[in-house]
Amino acid sequence: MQITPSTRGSWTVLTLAGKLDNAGSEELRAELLPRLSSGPASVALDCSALDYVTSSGFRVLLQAEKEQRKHGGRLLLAGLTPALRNFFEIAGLHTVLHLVPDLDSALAAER
Amino acid sequence: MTTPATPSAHPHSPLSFVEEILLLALDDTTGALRPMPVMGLDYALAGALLADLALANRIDTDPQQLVVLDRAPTGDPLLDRALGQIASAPAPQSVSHWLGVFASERSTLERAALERLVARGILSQQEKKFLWVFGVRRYPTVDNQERVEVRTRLSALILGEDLPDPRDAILISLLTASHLLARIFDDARYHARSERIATLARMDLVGREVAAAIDTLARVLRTATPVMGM
Repeated sequence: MQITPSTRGSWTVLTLAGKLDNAGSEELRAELLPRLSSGPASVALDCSALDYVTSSGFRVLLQAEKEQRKHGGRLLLAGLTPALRNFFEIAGLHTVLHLVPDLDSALAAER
Repeated sequence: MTTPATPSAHPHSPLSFVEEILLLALDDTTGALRPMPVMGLDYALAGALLADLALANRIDTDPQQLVVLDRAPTGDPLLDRALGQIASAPAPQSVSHWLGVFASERSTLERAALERLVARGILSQQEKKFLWVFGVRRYPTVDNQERVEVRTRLSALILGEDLPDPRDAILISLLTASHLLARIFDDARYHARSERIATLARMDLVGREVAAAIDTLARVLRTATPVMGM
């Protein structure tokens, strides 16, 4: 998986492309968790080019959300494809993760 | 997986899911298995085995298939035998396929887990004669600390609003799927949290597949059983 960090105002945007499988999860864990566990951080994951998530991927996202809540930060997942969104809903994760359809409008509203 | 059960190489390591599920499936005082749906324990132990392999980073799952990530032995003979079986399949199979395979090996998993729990000093083994004829083996608890700890942790999770860590999400999912959670936490405070429990239980894919297997079997049995008194 490719992870490209960028900054949008007070937000760190991580653009994810490819597969959030076991290897991708390890990369995301290394990139994301230190940002969320070092204090209140605002991180948006741009998932529009993400095409696959396995159980390992869900575990890292759950762990990241837990860290974010512990440290009073913000974590958004933007632009999931309908198939992936459906997968998140089956796992009930749409009720615990902050999923938004579009990154630009979400960041404008959250500013 | 026909090799006799082997106790864990590390008796002081944390409990595996297979051990934890079996420990929670036993009644604290009598040492007998709690009532569960048909094949409930079989599928719960099979799911626990897959969960142990997943958290050891040996397998990963998606709704279509279970894939092997790493064939390197974990050092746990029970897991390594299962990993060898999965790795030697000619093509990746679904989670439900492997649940079926390992559920059929329940007696091996159960015996291995019991031996380990006895070796850890958590359970003792007791032979009793039922009606002075049939031998019944019971596993009364010697050290209840592990069970109390896991119950305390899961209780806080169910009654609170915190997100589970991945391990507890798996455990709640497996316990709910096998209807054990309702036996362990059987009072009004937990009944009032049924929606929360359902949300937590959905978070793990293996747990969802275990629930689906047990529910499907129950449905099949209901339709296959003639209604009494007709």
